[in-house]
Amino acid sequence: MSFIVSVGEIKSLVGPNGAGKTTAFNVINGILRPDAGRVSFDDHDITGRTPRQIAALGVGRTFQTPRLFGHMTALENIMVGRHKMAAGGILGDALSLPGAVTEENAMRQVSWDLLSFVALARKAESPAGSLPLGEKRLLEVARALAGEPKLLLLDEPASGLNDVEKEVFSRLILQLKGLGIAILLVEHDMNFVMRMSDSIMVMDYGVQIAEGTPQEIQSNQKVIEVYLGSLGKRVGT
Amino acid sequence: MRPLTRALLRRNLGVGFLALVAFGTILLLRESYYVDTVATVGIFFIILMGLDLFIGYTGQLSIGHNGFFALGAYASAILTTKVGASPWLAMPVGMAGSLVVGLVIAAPFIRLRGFYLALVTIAFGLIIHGMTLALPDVTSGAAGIGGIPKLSLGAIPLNTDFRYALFVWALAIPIFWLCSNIMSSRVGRVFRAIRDDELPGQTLGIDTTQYKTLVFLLSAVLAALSGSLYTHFHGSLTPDAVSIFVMFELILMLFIGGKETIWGGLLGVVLIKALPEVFVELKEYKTLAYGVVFLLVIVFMEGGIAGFLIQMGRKLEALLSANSKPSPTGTSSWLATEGRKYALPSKSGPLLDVAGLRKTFGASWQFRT
Repeated sequence: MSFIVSVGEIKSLVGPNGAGKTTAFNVINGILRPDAGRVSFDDHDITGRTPRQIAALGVGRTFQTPRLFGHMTALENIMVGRHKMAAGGILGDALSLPGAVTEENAMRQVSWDLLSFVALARKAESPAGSLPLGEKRLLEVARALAGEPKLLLLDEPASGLNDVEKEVFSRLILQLKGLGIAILLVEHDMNFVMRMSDSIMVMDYGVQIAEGTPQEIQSNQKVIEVYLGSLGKRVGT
Repeated sequence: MRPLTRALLRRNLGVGFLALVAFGTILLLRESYYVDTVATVGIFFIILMGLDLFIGYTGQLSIGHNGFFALGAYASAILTTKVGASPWLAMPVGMAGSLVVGLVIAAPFIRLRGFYLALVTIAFGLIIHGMTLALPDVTSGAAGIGGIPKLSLGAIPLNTDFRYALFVWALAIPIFWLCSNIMSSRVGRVFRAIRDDELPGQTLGIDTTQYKTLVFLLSAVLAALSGSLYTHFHGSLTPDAVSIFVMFELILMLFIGGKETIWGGLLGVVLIKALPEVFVELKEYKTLAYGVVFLLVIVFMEGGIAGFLIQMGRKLEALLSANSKPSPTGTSSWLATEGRKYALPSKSGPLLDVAGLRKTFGASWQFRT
């Protein structure tokens, strides 16, 4: 598969279950190694690099089933996301050196701000594992944002959300786009995808069958045949 | 007051309180036979703080830290009796040795999870314990080493239980302070994140392997220090003191006392080391009592005694402040502060470029160009 995500663009990968969307994510952010091909990000070849190295370059992600630090509070989750932005070591922490305390205060401040950005300030002290799904997804985005990514990979952010939550989420995504963050989206909800995306790539069992703007995809005969078939009616607005 | 300042104050008050209790107890018991128990409790508290960091907070299972305890204990015993070195040299040598051995184990094995890490550490503990028996020329075998010199601080020999207890706790309290600080700051937060879920930590740009190694080494060094202190306290050392049963006892102490608190281990040591001393007649039933107490705690107090106390404290706090629940302080929006740093990109064009990517799982799945 080949595709490009441009600066400040929202790109979606769609396709039926098993099409390889999540696998593509896992390869891009280094959890899986590709058998062939090349991935480059921001002029760096990141093929085969570790998730940590790829994150350090500015790729953030969320998971299909949110993978938060369940026993830690919502605020702490974001602070872990902020971790890589600070430089202090264990010695400063152990001795409560002024530098470490200042850094910790700054991390806490940014994390609070992010928490209120996703409207979760009132849940700051709640264990992340106890939050409802919609809030978990928002928190996961905030945690990724704490690392100031240039590209955000969102794995089915709308699944399991109700219409109100979806609306909140789509506004959030558009706000992030406004900041210049590029977004690669995997999503089943075609309405959501059509509304959000600048460009869409359709996959079917590992094969890339079409790529284009939402309008082009909606009128692409191959897409309608192979994938949208039954969904075509719902999408055609 | 900023929450962090308040947390810091609270932490330091806790350390002060523990110091008060420890030194108060030592002074109170100075003439008593039991002051030696207070020293023993302090010695095991030190290794337990390390175990709490590694097992409790970071969620990694080691059943082999008796090996590091042994490295410290035997370094002290052998270097002082057979080489004639000063105990003050032997002690750091034991800790440094633990650090090196810890690194050798961590490099290939720290990535292992759950049972596999537990098995590797068991093997390590068994090997070290086995060496104390199998190398009689160096370790004096099962007979053990006697005549190990007591420590002395300059002109003051630490030759009474009272003095030794003071010395041990003068080490234990600062270590408690250091561990508390670590666990309530940036690095400690990563330890807890690793326990909850390691992979997302990596996708947030954190080298989780490095942090697991760090906490492993920390616990190894504390175990070695504990072993050295044990040896110089008793003046003799046999392989029994470093067997896997010691490790089982330590894990029991950690879980009964309450993991993920740092001070919980202390309650566990007191319960398991001190109570049998007080109720001497219980001694024959010690093992049985362990088993029963362990079972009761696991069933009724998931977080151990410390966890139970914290829960009670929270309930009390909630009761007292039921009408004055503080609302979260309004803070400036991230969009207006940090978000502004996202200068709109100076260049346009491709950011992510995926070309000809292919990934196959067995025969069942693939994606192609």
